[in-house]
Amino acid sequence: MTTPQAARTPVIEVSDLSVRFPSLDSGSEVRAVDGVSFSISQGETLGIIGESGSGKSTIGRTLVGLLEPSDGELVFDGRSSASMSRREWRARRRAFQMIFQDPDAALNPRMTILQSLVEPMKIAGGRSAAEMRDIALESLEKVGLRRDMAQRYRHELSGGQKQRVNIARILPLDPKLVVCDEVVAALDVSIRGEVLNLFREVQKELGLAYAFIAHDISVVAQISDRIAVTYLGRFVELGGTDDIIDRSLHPYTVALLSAEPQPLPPELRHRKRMVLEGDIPSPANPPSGCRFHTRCPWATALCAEKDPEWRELRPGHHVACHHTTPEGLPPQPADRRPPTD
Amino acid sequence: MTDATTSTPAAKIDRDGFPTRFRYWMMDDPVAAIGLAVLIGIVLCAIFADWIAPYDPTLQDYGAMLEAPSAAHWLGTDDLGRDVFSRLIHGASASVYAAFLAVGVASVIGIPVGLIAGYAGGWTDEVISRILDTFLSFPAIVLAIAVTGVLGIGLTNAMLSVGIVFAPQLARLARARTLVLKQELYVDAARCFGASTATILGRHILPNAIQPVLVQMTLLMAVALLAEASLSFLGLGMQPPDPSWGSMIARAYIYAQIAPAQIYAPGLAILVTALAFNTVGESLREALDPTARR
Repeated sequence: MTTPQAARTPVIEVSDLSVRFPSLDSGSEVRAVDGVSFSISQGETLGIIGESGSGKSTIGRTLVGLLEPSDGELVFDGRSSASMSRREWRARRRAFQMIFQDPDAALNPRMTILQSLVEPMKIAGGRSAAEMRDIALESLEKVGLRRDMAQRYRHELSGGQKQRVNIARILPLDPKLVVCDEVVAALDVSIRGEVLNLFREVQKELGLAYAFIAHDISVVAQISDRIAVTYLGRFVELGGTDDIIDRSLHPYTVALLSAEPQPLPPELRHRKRMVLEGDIPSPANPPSGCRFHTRCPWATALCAEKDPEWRELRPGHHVACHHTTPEGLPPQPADRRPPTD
Repeated sequence: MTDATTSTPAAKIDRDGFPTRFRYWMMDDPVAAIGLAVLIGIVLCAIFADWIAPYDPTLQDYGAMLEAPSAAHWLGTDDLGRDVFSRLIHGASASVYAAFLAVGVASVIGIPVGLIAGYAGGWTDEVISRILDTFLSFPAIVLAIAVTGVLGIGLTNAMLSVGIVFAPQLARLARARTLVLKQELYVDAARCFGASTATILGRHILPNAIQPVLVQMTLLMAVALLAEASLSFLGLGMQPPDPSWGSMIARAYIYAQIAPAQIYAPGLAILVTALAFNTVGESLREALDPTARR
């Protein structure tokens, strides 16, 4: 599934992105995202996984301009977002769309489905009412819904149908990048596969790139070319899907993968469960050094002092850890829990 | 999805037009239909007062003062011998005009101000909210007295100031709804489409915020009728000899002990109109909510 990166042009380049929010209880700031760099190429899917509070949704919302970066730069087609005028940015951001976790809340309850489908085209302008209507009805069929669904209101559709409508309404905008924020998390397991397939078909047809945000690794692994693992507002590991799943380098990724349920009796499971102690620390007051050291079985004094470098240990496979090697993590220290592998 | 492939023969894509929807609304809610009929009747009375009223409302007949209802004067006569029924019919236009003017002014000022304060938040919201509080602390009558003192006495000036006093009530409601609605995902989605603030406010926030505002507007219609009555009673609204329901009550009140009949007609007219406004408003709120449909 790994694709050569250099061959394709990036649709978006993010360098050293930070997003901070004022904290409610104290004068301090919450660093939701703290110095993240990556790029997404045309037609590529970048999966972003992490626990809640790891900043993955904040990254997604910043990509489409719903949040302003506190620091760092977003570059679209070689132009920085900061250098654009408000008007230009508003027109250009149409190429960057988002599908939300809650398909219901993303539709206005007072609009018919047809009105919801026409709305983005209306805002973009340049089409007659009849044209917009035709395009809207075509889009509806493209995502596998009947034309007569157009006259319904959102509460008259099922969750899967609503998510299809949400996909249909961004198609006429011809987006380059779509941020998918937990798009199947709210759907029944039985229809997740269908909706994921629809995402794939749309990508193939339009050649668009996805930033696919989820907490569920199996979903992300199904659809992504590359996967980024987030922890407390930072990337801890980024690499091709196979590399991340089969040759994970970061202790947190290992723990995350081991938490995935396996449909096998315990003696046949190839991965042992690695249980992390404690909760994710507060992003208002992150731990010193490596942010994962408070919960990491490999942590040493060095980890509490020094922030690990973002290293490319294998081609296209980046990780931020002091102790890992290109061959994977060393055995766990004896005084900790038994080794995981 | 199974239903994606089956197709109904006559697939309807557009919603019913306004006449059909209106008919369904009226059939669904007969009480509202009655309320609406009453309101239309009152407006017709106001428009065609000259044809309906049997007498000139200002014609004084000193031979028939404070008469009880009779065949010649259906609702009796007032202290100057004027026909109460004719005055009631002519007074409808003043009262309806007063109510619509006050609520119109209140909504034209209040709703946009509330939307902007709620949506902008922060500093803008603080400033607007403090100004609203100031106006809320003003009794309507006191402000009306001040305004008519400056601009001159008259029904229009009086009701303009009533409208200004009502505006913060609508603004607060609109603001409170906007604070909630601006967090909605469909607002975020619209932002992603590149929608301007005006589009977001007009197409997404206002239609979803309007329900409680609409109900409050119909309640204010009733309050405005009463405010007109009070101001005319105080001599700040409708000027004699032209009739309004409020000034009729004011005059009848003075003679209530000798001729109690005169006070009922304008009083009932105000009550029925206020009730009709409330019924229609409440029903309109339900009819406009797509999720409340059968």
